[in-house]
Amino acid sequence: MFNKKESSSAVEEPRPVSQPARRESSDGHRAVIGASIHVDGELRGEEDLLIEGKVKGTVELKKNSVTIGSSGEVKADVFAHTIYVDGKMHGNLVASERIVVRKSAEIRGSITSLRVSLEDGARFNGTIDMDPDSEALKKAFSNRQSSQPVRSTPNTGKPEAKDTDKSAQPGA
Amino acid sequence: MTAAASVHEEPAKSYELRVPLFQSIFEPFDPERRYVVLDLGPARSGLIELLVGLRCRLDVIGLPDMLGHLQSLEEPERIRQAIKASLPPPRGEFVNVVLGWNLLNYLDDERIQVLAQALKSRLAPGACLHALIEYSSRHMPAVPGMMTPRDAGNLLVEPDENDGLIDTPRYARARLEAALPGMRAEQTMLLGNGMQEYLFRFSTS
Repeated sequence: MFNKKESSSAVEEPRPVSQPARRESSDGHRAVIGASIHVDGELRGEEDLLIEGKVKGTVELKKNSVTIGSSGEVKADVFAHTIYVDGKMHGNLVASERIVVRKSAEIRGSITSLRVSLEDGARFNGTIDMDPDSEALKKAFSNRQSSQPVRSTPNTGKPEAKDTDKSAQPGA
Repeated sequence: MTAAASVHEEPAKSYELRVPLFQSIFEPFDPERRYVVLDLGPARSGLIELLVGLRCRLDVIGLPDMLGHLQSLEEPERIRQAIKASLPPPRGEFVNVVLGWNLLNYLDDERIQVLAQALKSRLAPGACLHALIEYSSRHMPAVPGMMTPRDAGNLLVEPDENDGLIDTPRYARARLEAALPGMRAEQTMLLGNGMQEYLFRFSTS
């Protein structure tokens, strides 16, 4: 069925709502942008971040997790190891490891990650790209060291397909 | 008692529906090749799970949320603009598969035509459109129910009859082809629930 690659990029089952996702770094530390805080600009760092306020611009925490909380409103491009979305997001989400979209989320933009899980009920308008060869992923994490290999299958020696392939005729 | 009233007394239950043509879309997918899938419906976990491991880009426009707005618009140009605004940027790629689910039943001929025209420039030659059209039933829920892939060949259908029932348009093949310029019905199949499953193929000629 589907001739799928035996890829490591299996979608994980959405967690039950009652089960909190892992949202803190190993030392338990997490920065918080509170509900009354507005940030306009570029955010960088090396610790996990919870956004409950309003953020515009760019968020780059490539080795850490970013959570857009239920009251968070983000208009930005977000680059992180793992991204959880409970709130409102307008922009591009790029994660080297995983993106989890909860049913309360409202997203307009793009989601790029090897693993994407989305709870039914989430409002989403845009693009979801789980292609290991995604240009956005390569560009954002060119030196990434994901815990999982991008592809588990060996290179077959076949030439790589171009991203734009007009000749494909699924269902033929 | 009308059929609609009797259904209200006993709410419709969700059920599994075998969809052979839906399955036939994905079976030939080459894992080495990148595909673009355009989902006219809302984002759903089942479809994402179906596409994982494939070199796929999934565009989601959430047409059900726009239906009320589209139906309120009279001028074709405004309808076209509303649809275009919901489409994600092409990023230099063309769509290989359009998933229409049961949504064409909720658009009249003119709106289907405008939708097809809005999508036309985004489609790769040979792109296909999958659709489920009410055929046997004279009534359908006033709002489209959710259809979620359980696997490649089966959908979980969850009818939503909270807003009552409306008449089905009962589109025939020729009427659909007339409303979908550049598309021809390549295969059709009558399904277990009385819907007609269609696979349309886009041709540039």
